[in-house]
Amino acid sequence: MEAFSEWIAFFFEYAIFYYGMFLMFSYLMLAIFSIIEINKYNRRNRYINYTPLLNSPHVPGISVIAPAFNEGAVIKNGVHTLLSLNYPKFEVIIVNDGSTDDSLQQLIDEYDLVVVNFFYREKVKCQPVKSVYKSTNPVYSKLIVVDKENGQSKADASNAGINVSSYPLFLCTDIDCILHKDTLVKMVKPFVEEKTRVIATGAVIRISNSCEVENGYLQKVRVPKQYLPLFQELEYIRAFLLGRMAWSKINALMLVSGGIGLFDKEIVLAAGGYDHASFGEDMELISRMRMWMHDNKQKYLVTYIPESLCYTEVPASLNVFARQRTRWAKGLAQTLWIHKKIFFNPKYKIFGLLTFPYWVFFEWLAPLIEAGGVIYYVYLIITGQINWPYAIVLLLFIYSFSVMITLISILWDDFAGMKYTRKREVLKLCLAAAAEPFAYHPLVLFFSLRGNWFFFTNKKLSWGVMTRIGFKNKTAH
Amino acid sequence: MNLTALSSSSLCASLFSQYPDIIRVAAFVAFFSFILIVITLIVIFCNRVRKVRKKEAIAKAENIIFEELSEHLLTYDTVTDIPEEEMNETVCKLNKLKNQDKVFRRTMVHLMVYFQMNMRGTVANIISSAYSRLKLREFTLGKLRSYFWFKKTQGLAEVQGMRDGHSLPEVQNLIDDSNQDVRVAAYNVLLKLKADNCFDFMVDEQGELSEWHQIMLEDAVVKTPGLEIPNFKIYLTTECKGIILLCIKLIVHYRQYNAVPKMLSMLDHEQEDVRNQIIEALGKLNSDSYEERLIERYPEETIKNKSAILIALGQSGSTLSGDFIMKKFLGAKNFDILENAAAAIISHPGRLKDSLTANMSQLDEKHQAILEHFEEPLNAYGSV
Amino acid sequence: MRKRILIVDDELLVTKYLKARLKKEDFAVDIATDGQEALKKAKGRKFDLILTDLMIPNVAGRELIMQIQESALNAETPIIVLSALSSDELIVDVLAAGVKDYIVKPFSVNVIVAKIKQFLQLSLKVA
Repeated sequence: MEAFSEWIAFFFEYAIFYYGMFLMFSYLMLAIFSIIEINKYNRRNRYINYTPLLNSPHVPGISVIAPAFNEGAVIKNGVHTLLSLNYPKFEVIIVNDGSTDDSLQQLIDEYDLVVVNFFYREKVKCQPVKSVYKSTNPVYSKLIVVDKENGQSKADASNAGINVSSYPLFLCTDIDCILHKDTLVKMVKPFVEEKTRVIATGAVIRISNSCEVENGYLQKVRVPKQYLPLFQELEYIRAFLLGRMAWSKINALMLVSGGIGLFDKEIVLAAGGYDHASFGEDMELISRMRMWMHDNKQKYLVTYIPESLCYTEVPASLNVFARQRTRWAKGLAQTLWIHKKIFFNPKYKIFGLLTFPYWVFFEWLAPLIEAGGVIYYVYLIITGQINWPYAIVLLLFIYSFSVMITLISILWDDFAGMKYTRKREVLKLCLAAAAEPFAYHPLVLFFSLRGNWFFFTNKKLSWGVMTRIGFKNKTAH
Repeated sequence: MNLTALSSSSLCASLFSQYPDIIRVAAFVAFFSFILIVITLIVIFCNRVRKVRKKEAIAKAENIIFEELSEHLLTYDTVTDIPEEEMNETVCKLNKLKNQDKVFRRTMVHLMVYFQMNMRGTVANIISSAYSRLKLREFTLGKLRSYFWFKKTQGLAEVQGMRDGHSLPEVQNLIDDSNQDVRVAAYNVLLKLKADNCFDFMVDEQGELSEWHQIMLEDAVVKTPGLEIPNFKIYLTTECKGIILLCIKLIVHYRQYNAVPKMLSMLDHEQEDVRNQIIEALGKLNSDSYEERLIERYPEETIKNKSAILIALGQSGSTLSGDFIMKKFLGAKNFDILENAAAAIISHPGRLKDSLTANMSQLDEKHQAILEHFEEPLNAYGSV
Repeated sequence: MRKRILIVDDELLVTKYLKARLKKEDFAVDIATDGQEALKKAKGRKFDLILTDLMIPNVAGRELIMQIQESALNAETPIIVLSALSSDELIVDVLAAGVKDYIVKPFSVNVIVAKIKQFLQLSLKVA
C-alpha cells in the first residue's frame, strides 16, 4: 500500500510535471510556427489583385453545401448571404435534412423553387433524397435545394449535398454561418497556388453572438457580451490562429472545421465521404483523406489561411454548450479509436508520427490527466499532506503559462488583421484570458470527461437542437 | 538599506535552493510567463495604438492628396489644358508633402496607382504626368532593387499599375530572379507594358507554373489591348507543363486553328492533365478532323479523359461523332461515361437528341432519367 | 430640378471622385457602399439613374439589380453597371436583366458622364 501511494506520488509529482512541461513546450513551438505562417501569408497576399481570378473561366468550380435542420429562423437570410459570395463559378446546395418546421416552405416561397427532374446518384451513402428543387428565377440559378429524410447527423446531410454537387471542390458550411463575400476567392487560392495537391483548406471561425447583424449580413464585429461566448471566442482564437496555423505550416493538420472547409471532392469521395455515425465527422474525414493519400502514395497538403471568413453563433446557454462539448469529446475519442492504426505508424509520416500521437497524448489524454491531478490535489489537502508553498508555485506555473499563451494568441490575432476596433473590447478579451482558467476551463474539462464517459460506456448521444437567436436585426447597445 | 536587500535576496536564494528541482523549474517558468504576460499586454496595446494612429495618418494623407489632385489637376480635360503655373504649384505642394514623411509618400504612390488601375483616359494621363513630375518612380525602383521578394512584387505591382514603361529595364532584371512569384510578376508587367520579347518567358521559364500563375499571365495577355499575339503553338514543345497549359488556353482564346495539328500530335503526352486540356481545347475550337483522332485515342485514355472526349465530340455536329457518342451512351458501364455521354448528346448540334427522344421508350429507366436530367433547362447551371 | 444619381460601390476613393465630378455636372449624388444600404436608399427615394458595381458587400450582383427593379420608386430607373468583372457571359446576363449599360473598369470618367447624360435624356424623352 505504501509502495502504491509512493508510486502515485511519484507519478503526479514528476511524470505529470514533465508531461505538463512538454505540453507547454509544444504550445511555444505552435506559437512560433503560427506567427511565421501568418507573416508569410500576409506578405504573399498584401498586394494580391483577385480580379484576374474573378474574371477567369478556368477557375475550379465550387459547390457550397449547407445542411439545414429546423433552421426556419435563419434559413432565408442564410441562403441570401451564400448567394452573394464573390466567385465566378459556384453553386449553393441547401440540404433540408427532414426539417419539421417550415424551413423548406420558406425557401420555396422566397426563391420561387420548383421540383426538377434531377438524376440523383448516390456516390456516398446517405438517407434517401425525396426531391431536388431549383429556382425558376434566373437570378437564383445557382441555388439547389435538396429535400431528404432526416439522417440524424450533419454528416449524412453533407453527403447528400456532395452527391448532388457538380463541381470539383465543395465548401462545407452551416446555414447559420455568415461568410465573408470573398470567402471562396480566398479559400480557393491555396488550391490554385500550391504545386502540391491541396485536398482541404480551412479558415478562421469567429463568433457572431454580439455582432451587429442585419438581414443575415454582418455589419459590425463585436466581442461577445455573454460569459460563455466570450470564453469560447478566446478558445477559437487560440485554436485557429495558434494551433491550426502552426500545424498547417508543417502539413500536419488533423482537423478542418465543419463551419468552413473547402475540400477536394475527388479525394473525399475516394475516402468514402462523411461518416454519418461519427460525432467528430470533420476530423474523422480529414483522417481518412490523409490515410487515403498515403495509401495511394500521393503527395498532398491540408492548409489553413489566417483570415476570419466565417462568423457563427456559439452556445450561450449551459445546456447547449454541454451537449456540444460532450459531443466533441466523444467525437475525438471515437475518431482516435477508429483510426488507431495511424498511431506512430511511419507509413503515415508526420501525420502518424507527430500529429496523431499529439492528439492522443495532449488533446484526448490531457483532460483525464488533469482530472486525476485535481483529485490528487484534493486528496492531499484532505489528508493534510499538501505542501502549500509548492502547491502555490505549481498553480502559478500552470496559470501564468495558460494566460500567457492566450494573450499571445490575441496578439497574433491582431497581426492577422485587427478584428476588434475598440481598445476596450481587446481589454475585455485580455481580462477574460486571466479569468478563463478558473471561470471557464473547469466546464470544458468536465464536459470533456463526460464525452469520454459517453464514449467508453457507449452511451447514446444525439446532436440536439441548437437554439438560435437567428439573424433578426441585432444592434449593439 | 542595501545590506537588508542583499540579505533578503540571499535568504530567498537559499530558501529557493532548498526546493526540489521541479519546483524551481516551475517557479522559473512562472516568473518567465509573468514577464511575457506583461510584455504581451504592452505590445498588444502599443500595436493597437500604433495601427490606429497609422490608419488615421494614412486617412489624413489620403484626404489631403486627394483634395489637391481633384481640386487642381483632375478638373481638366487633358494634361495640356492644365496651366503650367497651376501644375507647378500643385507639384510643389505635393513634393513638400512627399518629403514630409514616409506616410505621405507611400500614400501618394498608393493613391496614384489606385487611380491608374481604376480609371483610364484623362484622369490616368494626368495622374501619370503628376507621378513623373513628382519623381515617385524612384521609390518604386528602390523596391525593385530590394533584397526581399515581397518588396519586389510590391514594386512590380506599382509599375504595372502605373503602366510605367520607363521602369522596364529594371523589370527586365527581375526575370531571372530566384523567386518564382517575382519572375511571374515581372512577366506580367512586361506583357502589360507590351515590352519587346515579352513572350520569351515561355521559352526561358523552367519552373512549374501553378494554376494561379497561369491565370495571372493569361489575364495579362488577353486584357492588354494592342499586344502583338504570337503563334502559341511554337511554345508547345517546352517541357514546362505550366507553359503548355497556358498556351493551350491562349490558343483557344485566340482561336488559333493552325495549332490544331500540333495539339493532335500531343494527344499521347505523358501527363494526363495536358492531354485533358488538349481534348477540351479541340472541342472548343471545333475545327475539322479532330473527331477521328479523339475516337482513336479514346480506348487508351483514363475515365476522366474519356469523359472529356465525349464532351468534346458533343461540340461537333458530325455523324461520326454522333454515332460514337450514342454507342458509348447506350453501352456505358461506368457512370461518369454515361453522364458525360448524355450531356454530349444534349449539346450535340446534330439531331441526336431528337432521334433518341423518338425512341425514348426503348431506353431503360436509367438512360431515360439521365437524358431527362440534361434536358431539364433548370439543370443547365452547374451541370457537367 | 437637379437630377439625382445613386452610386453603389465600396471603392471609396473612386466613388468620392465620381461624386465630385458629377456634382460639377450639376447632378445630386448619393452614395451607398453595400447592397443593403443601396436597397434602403432605393426604397426610400426616387433616383434618376443608378450606377452600381457588382462586387459589393451584402446583397450583390444580379440580386441587387432585381430588387431595385422590383422597388416601387425605382422600377423604371436606368441602371448602369460599373465593374471590374469582364466575362462575356456575365455582361450578356446582366444586360438581359434590363441594365442599360455595362462599363468595365478601368473606366473613363468622361465616358461615364456622357453615358449618364445620354440615358437621362432618353428617359426624359420617354417620360
